[in-house]
Amino acid sequence: MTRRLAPWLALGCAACGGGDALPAPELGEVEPLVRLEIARRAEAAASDRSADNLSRYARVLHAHGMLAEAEHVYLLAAGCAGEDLASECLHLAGCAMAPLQPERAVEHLTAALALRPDREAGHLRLAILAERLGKVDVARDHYEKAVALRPSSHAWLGLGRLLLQAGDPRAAVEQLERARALDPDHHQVDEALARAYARLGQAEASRQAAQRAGNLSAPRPIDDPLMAAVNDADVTYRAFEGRAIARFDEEHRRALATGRRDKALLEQALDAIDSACRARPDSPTARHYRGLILAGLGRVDEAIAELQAVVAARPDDENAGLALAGMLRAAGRASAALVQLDALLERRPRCVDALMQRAALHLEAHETEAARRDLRAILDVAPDNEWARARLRE
Amino acid sequence: MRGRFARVRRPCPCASSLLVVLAGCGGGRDEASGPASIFAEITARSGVDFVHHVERSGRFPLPEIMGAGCALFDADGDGRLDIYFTDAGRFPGPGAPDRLYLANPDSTWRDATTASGLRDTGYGMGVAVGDVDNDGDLDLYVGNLGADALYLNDGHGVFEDVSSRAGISGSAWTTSVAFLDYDVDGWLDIWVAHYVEYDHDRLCTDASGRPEYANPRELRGVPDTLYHNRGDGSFTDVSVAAGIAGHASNGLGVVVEDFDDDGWPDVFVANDGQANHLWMNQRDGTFREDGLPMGVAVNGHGVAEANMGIAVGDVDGDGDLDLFVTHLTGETNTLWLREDFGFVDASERSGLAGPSLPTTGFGTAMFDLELDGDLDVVIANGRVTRGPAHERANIDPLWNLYAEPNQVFVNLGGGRFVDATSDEGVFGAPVEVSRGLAVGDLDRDGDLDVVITNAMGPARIYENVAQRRGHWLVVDVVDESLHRAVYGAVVRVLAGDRRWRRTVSPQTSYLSSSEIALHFGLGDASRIDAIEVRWPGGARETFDGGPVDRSITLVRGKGRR
Repeated sequence: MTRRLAPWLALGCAACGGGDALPAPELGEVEPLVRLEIARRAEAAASDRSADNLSRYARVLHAHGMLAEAEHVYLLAAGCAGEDLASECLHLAGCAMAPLQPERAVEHLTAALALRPDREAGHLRLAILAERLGKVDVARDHYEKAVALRPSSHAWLGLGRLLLQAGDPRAAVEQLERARALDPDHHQVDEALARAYARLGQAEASRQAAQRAGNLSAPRPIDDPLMAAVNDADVTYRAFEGRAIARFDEEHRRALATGRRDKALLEQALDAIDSACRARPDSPTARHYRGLILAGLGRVDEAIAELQAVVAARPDDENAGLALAGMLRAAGRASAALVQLDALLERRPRCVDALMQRAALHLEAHETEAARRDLRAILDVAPDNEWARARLRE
Repeated sequence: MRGRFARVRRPCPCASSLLVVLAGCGGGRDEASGPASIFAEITARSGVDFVHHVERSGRFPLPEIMGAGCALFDADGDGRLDIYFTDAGRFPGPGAPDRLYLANPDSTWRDATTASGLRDTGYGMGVAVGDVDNDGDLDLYVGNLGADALYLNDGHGVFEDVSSRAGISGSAWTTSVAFLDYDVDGWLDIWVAHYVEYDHDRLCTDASGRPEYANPRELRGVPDTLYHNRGDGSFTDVSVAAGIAGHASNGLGVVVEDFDDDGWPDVFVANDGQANHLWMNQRDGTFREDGLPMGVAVNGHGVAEANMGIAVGDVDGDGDLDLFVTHLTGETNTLWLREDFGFVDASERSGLAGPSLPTTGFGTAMFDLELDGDLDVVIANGRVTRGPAHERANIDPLWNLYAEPNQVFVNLGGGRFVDATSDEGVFGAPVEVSRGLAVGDLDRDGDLDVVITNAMGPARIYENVAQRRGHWLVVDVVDESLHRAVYGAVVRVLAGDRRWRRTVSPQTSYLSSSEIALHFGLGDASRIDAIEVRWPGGARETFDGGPVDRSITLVRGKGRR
């Protein structure tokens, strides 16, 4: 332990002894799924103030934007954790504080690196923050340490920027071209090159770099496994997925309300659900909705593939099975639809919707006896089912 | 109303008359505001009781958080600065009426909205001031979320909505607006910045699923509009012909300046979350977008930030124009210094970067607070997404999460700034959701005062009571044949080996319009050697210098060519 760890160490010791209250953010409007998870982790941390429980609580707060509360709990966790976890918690506390209190973020990141100086992402984050705060020497030191650990376009870019600021565009170009060699598609590198070449009076090279940079919008994220883990927490993803699906529902309702299949709305919904799928490609729920949207857009083969994947992952998912059968039937693949319905009914023999779909398929194929069996089965389960009663009468 | 344009301001050679009203006759600055004060807040005694209205729907529609602007101008031709505020209301409609306050002789203001005819009930955003019919009085363009409005002044402070017959059309979300004479034909044209295509039905949330104001990066931007003044009371939308229509973006701030010193006005547009646009006037009725090669599209890290308000001025005293843009929490406000090859992000070394990381800046202005000869910076702050409540925030439980103190930065010379907010103690005291900001010499005492608008809060008026460290000069620049101030004229004041530059271009900041007259802090220069004016189109004239601490009017054609 180094002396600079003292403040959070003291906080952590108090936490482990139960002497410091855990922050309880206002959760009134928070999504139920998220609220539940936050409450669950808060309870676990309150009942057993282990570093692991505290760290898990901090991460869920962090993932959902409660940054000040997250920092507090990270520091509590760091105070009673082993060096590795303490370093992780301090690093994440720094990430959480960067937009709110950058000076504090610098302190946390510095403390994290004191424990684990081999964390490249820590050096990069600290360097960028220091650069923004005008602490040029600190920035340069950590960019160089990051390069020493693993040459990356971010580190070369940072060093190039510092040289450019220091009035040495020639040296800056050298570093920036290294960054470009490593990552030819890094637009921030091209933008810095455009400025460096302009300062060297090389107008054509500057304009070419500016054109490569294009219309820059968001920064290229740092490869930071710790932050990726925070953002990939199950609860984060599930909340994201839930919102994407809610969005789809909303758009779909509007499309139905207009009495037509609004392609633009469905494409917007597809964008939303694609984001969810990218974040977690194996999510059956997101793929289920993606399939429905694709079907709405007339991309039936893709829709069927999505639903088949869902059914393979969740054979008991009645809705997915029904949707798949419906799509197969609509695509004229009656026998495949029948296989799907048979499989579903084997698991859930009293599923009225599945029985209705299968009865309809039998009727279309003029398989009267098979249809009659399904229709009677429907009435056994739902005696008031008018559709089945009418078909039987026919 | 011919001839009124040339009215000379009323110089007030002694202590602030406004301050005398507030602090008692003979009261010194320090008695009224404390020795460290730069500002004294005079809202309560000013008669200005404007409160920005938003009917919060609970659905967090983005327009609610964007605030509104203000304009400082002489509406009724009495030589005093009047104040116009845009207001919002409910989204979607009906909007709350905008308000006009006319100045009284005792440096207070009275609500003259009804009599003025300026009861614009659009969902108000930006406002710009200029004489579009060259009749010697100041007209008004009000930018709304929805239809904008152009009001003609009858010279006595009574306005008529002429939007329809003038050809002002469109229903895009207008933010900032600027008058400019882009084709140098003597008639003021209009640049209208637009924000995003907004879908009211779309419900946005933050990372935890709480309803929250939308991230504009997720919305589709809208190209700006350029209206050409035909000189007959009508305007033509020339956005396509001028080459700007194909560049959709999330425009918030606009400033007109001659960035390449060719005598023709260029336009810088601050885009929220996207690369800024620097529209270089090609002198043939078209513009070329040069933001990236000129180095102002993105910050020095190569990142397009949430660009909001703009201030332009020569902060390092090297004779050229530097550019300052306010940004979101987690981003620095950015100061670009002009160099031979373009602009350089000097935010960090200027001292303006670090203190801005935790804040979200909107309105801003560069002016010489203490008359020491360099430009200082003031910033109106307020978040757009929830954060930890500031300890002094005291609005309501929800709005406290968006409130931040405003900031004042003093230039130590050469473009290095120090955050004087805490020491100053007045300007940063209210913790609110500030947006619009405009400056003007409200009390005619030779320094610039500040008006700030707050989203869902009261406007605040700050009198400049900084300890003076030098002399001042106020310059009106007029063309008698146009009967108005010459927008786009570049004025250089020369004294010894020092020179100061200003441009007649009142629309800067965010949604706001400052006083048209040019204010120069001169430091210890006790006499002016000469004043150079470059008129739109490039013609130059030199006027004699003379004493300082006064207001003067330079008339085109009366100097030496």
